[in-house]
Order: sequence, then C-alpha cells, then structure tokens
Amino acid sequence: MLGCATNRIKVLCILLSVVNMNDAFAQACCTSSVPMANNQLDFTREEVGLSIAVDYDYNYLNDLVSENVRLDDRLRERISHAVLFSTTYMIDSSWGVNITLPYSIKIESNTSLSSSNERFENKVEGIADLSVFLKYQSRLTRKLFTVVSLGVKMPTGAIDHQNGETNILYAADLQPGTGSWDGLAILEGVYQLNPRWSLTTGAGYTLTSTASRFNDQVTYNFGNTLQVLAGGAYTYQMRAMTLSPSVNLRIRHSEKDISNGTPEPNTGGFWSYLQPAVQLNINNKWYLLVNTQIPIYRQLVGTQLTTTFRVRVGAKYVL
Amino acid sequence: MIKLNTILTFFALAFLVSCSQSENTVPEPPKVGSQSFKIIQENINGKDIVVVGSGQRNIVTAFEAGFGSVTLQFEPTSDFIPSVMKDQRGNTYNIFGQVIEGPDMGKSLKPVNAGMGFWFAFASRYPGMELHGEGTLDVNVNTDPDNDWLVPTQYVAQGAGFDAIQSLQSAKFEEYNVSQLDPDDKFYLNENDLVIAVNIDGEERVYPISILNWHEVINDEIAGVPISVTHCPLTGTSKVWRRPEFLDETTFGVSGFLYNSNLLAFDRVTESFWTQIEALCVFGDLKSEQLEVIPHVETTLATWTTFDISPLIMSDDTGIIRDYTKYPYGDYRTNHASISYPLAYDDDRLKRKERVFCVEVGGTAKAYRLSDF
Repeated sequence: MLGCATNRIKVLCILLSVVNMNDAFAQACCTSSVPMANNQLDFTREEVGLSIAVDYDYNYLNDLVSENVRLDDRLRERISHAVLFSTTYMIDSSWGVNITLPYSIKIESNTSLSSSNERFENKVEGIADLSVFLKYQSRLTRKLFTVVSLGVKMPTGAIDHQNGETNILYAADLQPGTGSWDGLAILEGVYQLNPRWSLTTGAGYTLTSTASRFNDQVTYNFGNTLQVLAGGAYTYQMRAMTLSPSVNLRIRHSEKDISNGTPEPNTGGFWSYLQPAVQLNINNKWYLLVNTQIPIYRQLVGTQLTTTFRVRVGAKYVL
Repeated sequence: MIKLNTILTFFALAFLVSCSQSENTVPEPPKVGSQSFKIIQENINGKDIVVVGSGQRNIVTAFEAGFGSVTLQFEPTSDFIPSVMKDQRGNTYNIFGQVIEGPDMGKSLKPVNAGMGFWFAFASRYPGMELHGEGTLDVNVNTDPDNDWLVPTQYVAQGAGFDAIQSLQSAKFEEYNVSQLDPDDKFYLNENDLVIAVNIDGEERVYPISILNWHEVINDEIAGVPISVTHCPLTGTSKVWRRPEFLDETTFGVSGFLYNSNLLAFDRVTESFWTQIEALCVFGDLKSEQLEVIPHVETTLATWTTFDISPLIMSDDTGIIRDYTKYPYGDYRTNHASISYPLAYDDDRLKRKERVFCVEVGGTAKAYRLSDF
C-alpha cells in the first residue's frame, strides 16, 4: 500500500516537473504573450479534491532574429512578466477542471539612437485572458501515465490600452489580452523506466479565432501553434521530500498570423528550446518548481524579436 | 474513453496543417508605358505643373511649369539622356529639372511635392483624389483632427516603439560602374532594384530602397545640406527633406507610429511626429510645421545608370548587420490584400499595391499610372 502511494507520488512529481506546455499557447506574433495555462503545477494529482497554484513567468526578449540569423540589435528589448493564478478541482480520480487567470505586465523599451541614449519605454499591464480546461488522466499501463486536457481561452484581457501621451492604442502584442476565443488541446505522458528514471513527452495545439482591432477596421488572427516536448527526469528522495531535476527539448511551430484575411509578414516560424527544470515536493501538500527555457535553434518567418531566455517559478498547494 | 492513437493522430495532423513556407516575392519590373519620355502638362489647384516620365524606364518626376510667373510649354527631347525635355525658349532639362543647355542654363524648375508609392497610400490620404484619365470620386470620409493631433486618430496606429526600427545617422558611398565591376565581386543590388537619387548643387547621391526598407530613415548631408532620406516600406513612398535649422539640424528617427499605414518620423529635439508623405508635423510641439522637401528621383538601378554611368551609391556597410538583399516584409509589396493598419479610405479603382506617381499641390493630389508615360 505504501509502495503504491510512493509510486503515485513519483509519477506526480515527474509530471509536475517536466511538462510545461504553457507557451504552447503563446501567440505567434511575439513570444512575450502571457502564458495561459499553468500545467506545470496544476492538474496531475490523482486524488479527488482542490488545489491552488501561483506561478511567476519572466520572459526576456532581446534577440532580433531574421530567419535563423541573430541580428545586431542592442537597442530594443521587451520584458514580459506574468503572474498566473490557477485552481484545479478533480471531480474523481480521472476527471477534473482547471481555471487559470494571468495578470500581465509587459514592458517594451528602446535605447534612443540620439547621443543622449535616452530610454523610450511602453508599459502595459492588466488581467489577461482566462483559460478553462477539462482534464482526463489515466494510467494506461503500469508504467505509462497520461493526461489529456481540452480547453478554451476566453477574451477577458483588455485589448484597448492606450498610450496616455498620444492617445493611440498600444501595439496589439503589448496588450494583455488577444481579443479572441481560442481552443486548446494538450496531451502529456510519462513512462516510468525504473523507480528513479522516467521519460516524458507532451504536445499542445492552439486553434485560434479572429479578433478585431482598431474599432473593427482590421481583423486579426494569431497563428495556430503546435508544441512538442520530450525529455527525461530523475527522482531523488530526501526523506519526506522529493527532488526531481529534468531536461526537456521543446519545439514550437507557429503559423503566420492572418490580418484582414492575408498572412502577416514577420510572424510564425519554428523555435526549439532546451528546458531544464527542478521540482521540489516538500510534502504531499506543497510543491515548488523552477523552470527555464534557453533557445537552441530558430527558423523564423522574416525578422522577429524573440525570447532570449525565460524563467518560471511556481508554487502549488493541495487542499 | 479517449484512445491514445486517436489523440496522437490529431496532433500529427495538426502539425502537418500548421507547416507553412515563408515568401519573399520580388515585384516584376513594369512592362507598361514607353521607353521614351512623355510629358503631361496641366494645372493642379491653380498651379501649372509639368510631369515627365517613362513607364518602361520606371521613372516619373514633376516640377512647376516655368520660372516665376512665366509658364513654359514642354515637350520630350529626342536627344540622348541626360536630357529629358525642352521648352519653347530652347532650354533643355535633365531629370532633376535643371537646365543643362539653353538661355536659362544653370536655372532649375521648382520641384513640387511628388513621388512614387503604392496607390492605396495616396488614395487613403487624399480620399477620392483625381486619377489621371479617370477624374475624382465623391466620397465622404472623416478627416477631422482630434486628440491634439492634426489628423483623425482613428487612422493612426502604433506598430512598434521609438527607434525600434533603427534609422541611420550617416551613410558611406561607393562609386558604382558596371564596366569596372569584378564579376566575382557581386554587388548587393540588382538592376531592377529601386533607388532614390538626390542632387543638391550638383552633388548627387543614390540611396537604395533595399537599405531603406530596413531603416526607413537615413540622416545624411549632401553639399553641406543636412537631409533625411525617408522611405516607408508599408506604403512604398519616399520623401527627402531638409533637417531644419530651427531644430539645430537634428536627425530624425522612426517613431513606430503610422498614419494610414504610412511612416510617422520623429525629430530628436521635440519628439514631434511628422507624416512622411507630406513632411508635415501632425503631433507634438511643432504641430502644423512643414519641412522643406528636397526633390528626388525614384527609379531602378538600371535606369539610373543610364543617367549616370558611375553614380555614388550608398554602401551596404551601414555598421549594422542586415541582409540588404532580402526584403523584410515577405510578399507584402506584391500581395494587394495585405494591409495591416486602418485606412481612411480604400479606393478600388486600382489595385492597392500598384506603384503610381502622386503630385500634391496645396492639399489637392493627383495620381498618374506608370502606363500613362
């Protein structure tokens, strides 16, 4: 009985530590968009009940990339901060619901080309888009555990923040919301090789819809996005605590955005990241996690400002 | 119970559907109009102007049609370039409107605010504008300014931040001579690439659009005159203006704001916004101020080298790593449907991205197709 519970905790640890599909839902125009799901620390418990989690996501974008070449550009940077509040309720051992609400702060700053080196800064913050997932988890075999999530992202975030000085709307990718209803699908799996080592994989797809901009004069559709993640994890038991370092390869493909029915230049492409993470399970109530993303190779459409590195820190409490 | 293989199939199909290719379509050189030069002479908003161009050579320019109060009659020359037209007084003119032979030798016709660009750019800025041979349209569009702007802000959009697109603060030039080029040393421009030629007091410089597509504003100096050479890749329009003394000849940058999809430049003293098409301040401390427009000629490198066999062309050594052989906006310049920002008016008399020549006199504008010449 005790052994079975220990194994379940290990599976839970591994899932929590390795699967981070949050920016499977990142909009293609710019990777600074707010992550809309909190899958690192949210749903993979097997027990019936309620859990709550808070994550902080820091996305630093300072790489101007033309196709696969990083250009010389030290003037422009963007920083996206997001705090994600999420709660998961498991109705029974298989079915559950997750709700995630992000609060976003995006800062775009450029160094002036004038001799003063003045900094121009745009800062936009607010509640971003709410997402709701229906989850189904299942142990397909003794060693293989899977989770399927289907969800919807709702346009609860504002898309009409204006620059107070010019009274002009900020650029769409600085706005906290996207204005669109999007469909989300995630599949995750963990294969337990032995009590300490496991293989992990996941895939997520975002199906976007059209939103309007500029008082309905322009329609905009962020590109659909597919992400695939694969790697491994090691579980180290320290008395009551469990430490799980992991490394994953994450690849992401985004279609071009569509503006007024035609593809938007400089959107979409292929990204790959190395994703090291560490999960600490303090006990069966508290979980902590640190996760980073480091770009390895990018093949973008045109020229885009994209992620230099990304860090995520989270905590989860099971009630 | 959801089957695992069903889910995997879904993701595999989704991946295949989501794969797409980038595009970098190069526009075809025009096969319209004539090789020889043609003259159109008329009155716009009370001013007599002369428009001279050749459709197949991809070059059009315009001037006031005379000196002072004297209106002249022009006709194309049958001589070889650089002369393009002559008047009844026996003067022969080059493409910059300078008298290169005749009784008024040394004089120049006064340029008007004119240039090439995508049709939609001019048609949205001057709703219902006259199109040569087709007249005007009676349209009702809100052009009332609001929110401290000189233009309606519903057509102003922010695409990026100040200096996110890097303007250039200086330029290097190299002499280009086809006959002296080393065949192994490939020049970064092709003969169909568009260039902007500027001539001030006999000093001439050539600025490639392929560099301006990436930087939009080049701050430079010709014959001691401080200028900004500007080009908006979204509207295909170019303008050259004098950097004014009242701003200490400051440089201009790319604000990231657009009006009718057209570049709004900003000056580095007051950070006011200037419309590129009109060289007019529309927001900020200098609202309503007008910059002095410097005449330029936009054409292909092939055509320009028939005017000047060894021009000084801006070097691609800008100090910034960019691939100037690539167009940075995919198929935007050839895809007529691709418009990303709001327009005051969308005139369907021509395809949106057709390059036309627009003359503006006192707020009244008229467009000419390359096939008119």
